[in-house]
Amino acid sequence: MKIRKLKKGDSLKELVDLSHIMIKDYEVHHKEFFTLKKRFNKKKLEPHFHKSLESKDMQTFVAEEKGKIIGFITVEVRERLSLYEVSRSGFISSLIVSPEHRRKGIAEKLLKEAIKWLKKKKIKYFDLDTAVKNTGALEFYKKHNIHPIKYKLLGEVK
Amino acid sequence: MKIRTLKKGDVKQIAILRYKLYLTWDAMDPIDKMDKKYFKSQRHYNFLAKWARDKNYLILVAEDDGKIVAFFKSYIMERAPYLQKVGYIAESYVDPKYRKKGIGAKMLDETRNWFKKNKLKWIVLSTHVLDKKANKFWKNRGFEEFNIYYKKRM
Repeated sequence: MKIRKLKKGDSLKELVDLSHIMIKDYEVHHKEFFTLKKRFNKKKLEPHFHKSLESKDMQTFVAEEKGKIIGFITVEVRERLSLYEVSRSGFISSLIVSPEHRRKGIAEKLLKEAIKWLKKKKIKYFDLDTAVKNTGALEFYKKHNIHPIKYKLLGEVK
Repeated sequence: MKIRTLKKGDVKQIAILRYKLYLTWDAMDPIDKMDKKYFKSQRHYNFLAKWARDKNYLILVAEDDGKIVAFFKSYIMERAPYLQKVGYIAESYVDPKYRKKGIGAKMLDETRNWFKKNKLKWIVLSTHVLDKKANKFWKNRGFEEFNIYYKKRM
C-alpha cells in the first residue's frame, strides 16, 4: 500500500465511487436531510477532484494498492472570516477508506500526509466534521487527540 | 417589545450585541481567537448593512423602547449541487437581562416562517459543545445533533 498525491491520469471513477460510499453513509444517518437530488449523477463529483489537481490550496492524497485507489483524503486551505486572528486554516473535506480495507491504519496514514502538507503551508490548525452517528469516525478522532468544538443541529421547518 | 428586520440605523447597536455573542464563543473555543477591534470597525458595519439588503439573509431584531435587545441572523445556505438548500441560523443572541421572556422563541418562529416562504424544509445551526444554555434551548425545540465539528491545533 502506497500513499501519494492524486495525479493526472488517476481514475476519477474510483474516487467518485468512494465519495459515493461516503455520501451514502450520510444518507443512512440522516435519511431526508442528505438524500441526494433525484437527478444526482456521480459525474457531478468529478469537478471537485479536478480542482484538487489544479489548485494550490487543495490537495488529495490517495492510498493505492495493486494499482487501485482504496482510500483518499482531501485537504484544503481556507480563508477565514476577517474577525478571527488567524486568517487561514486547514480543512479536511473528505476522508474515506473503502469498507473492505478498514482497520488497517490507512486513514491514519492519510491523515498524517494531510497534516504534513498543512504544516508546509504554515497552517496553525485545521478543522473537520463528521456525523454524530458515525461511531467509527468519532473513535478515530478521539484516538488522534482531535476534540469536538461544536455540534451541528438539524430541525424541520414544518 | 417589537420584532422586526434590521434597519440601516441599527447597525451600531447590532455590532455591540454581535460582539457580546462572539465573546461568549471565544471563551468556549481554545483555538480560534477573535480580533476584538473588528467589531467596532467600518468593515463590520458595512457587512451588517450589506446583509440587511441581501434577500438571502434575514436579520431579525427585538426592540424594547428603542433599544435592541436581541437578534437572529439567518440565511439560505447553498450546498453541494447534489444536495438541497437549507435554512441556516448563523447567529442568535438575547441580551442576558431580557432572557426567559420568550423572545428567542418568537424570533425562531419568525425565522421559521421566512424559511417556509422560501420553500426550505430543513434548518441547520451550530452550537458550541460547552454551551449548555444554547444546547438546551434548541433541543427543547426539536433540534437534534447530527454532526460534530472538530478543530485541531498543530
